[in-house]
Amino acid sequence: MYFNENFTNMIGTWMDTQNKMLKSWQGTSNKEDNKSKKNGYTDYFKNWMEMNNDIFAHNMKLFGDISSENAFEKMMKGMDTYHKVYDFWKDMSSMTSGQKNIGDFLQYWKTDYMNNMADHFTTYLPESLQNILKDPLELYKTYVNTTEKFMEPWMENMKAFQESANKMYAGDQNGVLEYTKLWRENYEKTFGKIFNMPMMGMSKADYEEAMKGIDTWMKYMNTMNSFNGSIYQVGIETMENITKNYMELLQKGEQPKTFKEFYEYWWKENEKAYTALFNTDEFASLLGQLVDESMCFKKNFDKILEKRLEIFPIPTNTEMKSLYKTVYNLKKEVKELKKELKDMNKNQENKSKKA
Amino acid sequence: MEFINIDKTIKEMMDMQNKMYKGMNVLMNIDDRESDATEKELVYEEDKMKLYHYKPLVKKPCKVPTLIVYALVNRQYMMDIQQDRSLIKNLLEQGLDLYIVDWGYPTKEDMYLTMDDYINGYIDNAVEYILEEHKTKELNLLGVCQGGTFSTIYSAIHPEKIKNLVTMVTPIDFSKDEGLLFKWGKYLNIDNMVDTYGNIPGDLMNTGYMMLKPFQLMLDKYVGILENIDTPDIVRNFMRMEKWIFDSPDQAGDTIRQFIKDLYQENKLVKGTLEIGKHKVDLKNIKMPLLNIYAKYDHLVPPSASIPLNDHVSSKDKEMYEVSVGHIGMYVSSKSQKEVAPRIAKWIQQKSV
Repeated sequence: MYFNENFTNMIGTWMDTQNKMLKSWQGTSNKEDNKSKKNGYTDYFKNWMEMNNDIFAHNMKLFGDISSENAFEKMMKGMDTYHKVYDFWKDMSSMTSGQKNIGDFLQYWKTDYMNNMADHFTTYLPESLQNILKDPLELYKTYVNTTEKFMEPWMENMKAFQESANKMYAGDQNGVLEYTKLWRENYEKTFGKIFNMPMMGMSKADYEEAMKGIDTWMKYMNTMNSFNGSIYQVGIETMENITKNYMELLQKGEQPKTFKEFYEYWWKENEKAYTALFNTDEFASLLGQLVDESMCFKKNFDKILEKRLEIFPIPTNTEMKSLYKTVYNLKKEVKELKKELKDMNKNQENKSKKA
Repeated sequence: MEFINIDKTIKEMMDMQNKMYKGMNVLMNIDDRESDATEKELVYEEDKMKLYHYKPLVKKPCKVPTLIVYALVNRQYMMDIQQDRSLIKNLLEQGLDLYIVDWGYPTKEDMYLTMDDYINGYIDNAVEYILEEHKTKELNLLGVCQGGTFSTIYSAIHPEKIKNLVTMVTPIDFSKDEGLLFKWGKYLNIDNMVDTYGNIPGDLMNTGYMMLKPFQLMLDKYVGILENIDTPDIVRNFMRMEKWIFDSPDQAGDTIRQFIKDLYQENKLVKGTLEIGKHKVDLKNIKMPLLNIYAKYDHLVPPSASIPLNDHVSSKDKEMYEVSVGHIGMYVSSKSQKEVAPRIAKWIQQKSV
């Protein structure tokens, strides 16, 4: 029996209904949408700092967010991905009835699939990182717009840049990788140097820190995009492979016959592909670089934050660290002395017994 | 030609729908208090470390007490996750006299704790307490995962206090490339991480663990439980495990710094160049009987990282025990209950005469 339109509609409606039910069931567990507010700042640096604040506020949420309490939420998100895989399968099955050709299918799914992959990978990440990883192209456009405004003349003269950017906007993941690589090389040769230039005047140190902050952010975002690029590239390649394999299995009549079977096949193929990626030295090195650059950014950001907090009557992190170190050293000394005393008493007791 | 089995597909989906409705009721009435339930008594504490003594479950328990040292990552109640899958309860029923270290949850004031503080401080003080309490000179040491690495180091530094050493899923040779953690660990700038965070957040570590099997751990696990959501026992077990997985203490900064640099990156334990406080660690000092247990399908600590321990110690009485499970299955699988616990207990009893 062919996968006819009525059947597609019926199952599709059923899946939609189920999806709605899950969402209403999820109910109050939905968190309030934390959209960033529009602001009227004209001061570039204030703007910049606000953006940094937002990013880190979100990043920090990630680290407090993963708990057993939200297992239910994760189940719902898992189900959401399950539904998206169903949509993919449904559309793929429409090719079998000649409604769509493989080229159109792949082109259509490249963007959508990438967003689904983004959803999958970000569900369990800290909220701040989720926002960075979700809608990667949108984010990248914002990122590019920001840098374009800041570095317009430079950008305009980079033909190779534009070509890569065009490829990237067209959904070619190699474009993302090429773009970020080129960007990084050029950035380090030009503006990277400006951000690391010594400043003059009364607020010299503050300006230097602020400039360094921009530099660390630029590097962090650039590496984040290379990282995303490599994740999505594998996602897209796997999608293409799954589609092609499915067509081959179809020829032999060995294709998964139910959605459950297809889902099993789908996630195992993806797992295999990502395990292969994660096992490469290149990925391990990129992951190390990403973590390191995010640390540099946070470290610098914390420093700027501390500087601002200095005027308030509260201890800063640096002051607390110093206190912790002092307490640690004292405790260690006390423990050692107590042990020495205990040993001395023991020896004394033994001597008394012998005497 | 049949492209899709419509009857089967519809049936699968209707089944799922029914399960969902029943599952709502199950989830609303779930009660999970069973983990860490085997009776025990707090006998010693120091800073955030607590030492517990389990109430023996036989009239005449093994005369040589056994101290269990768990990893700093995650919590020790994995070994007592629920009463019908409790390695601890099982070992007690087989006649062992057990103590366990609970490391607690390090806070910022603990960021300067070193491996020396954990090994020559907390573990040694726990050992001393037990030896004094039992008026004996030796005890058995059972180390789990990173706790196994610590126990091995401790046994090399203080061999006179250890009667028998048991290591479970313990990384020793870090030069291996098979586990992703081993590969990724080599590229981490841990100095920068510790300098930035102080303590490394447990949830950050969890994100890394989930990336090891992204589709299984982040997706299929949750889809899978939805398929069984109408079965209270399965849901309860799932929730218990889920709670344990995400119950991740932060890692004391200076300790994880040394663990990553000296072990993951420089493999100093096997090279014989590791220094813990004022002690140089020589695995050849380990002469007591050794039981080295590893999991065949371990994706966190590959067998190739555990097996070499037997080649580096001087013990003449040493055994290797491969179990066909994964890292966690070593504690919660039916194989663990039926085979692993009896084998450990028997080995310890025989060597504790």
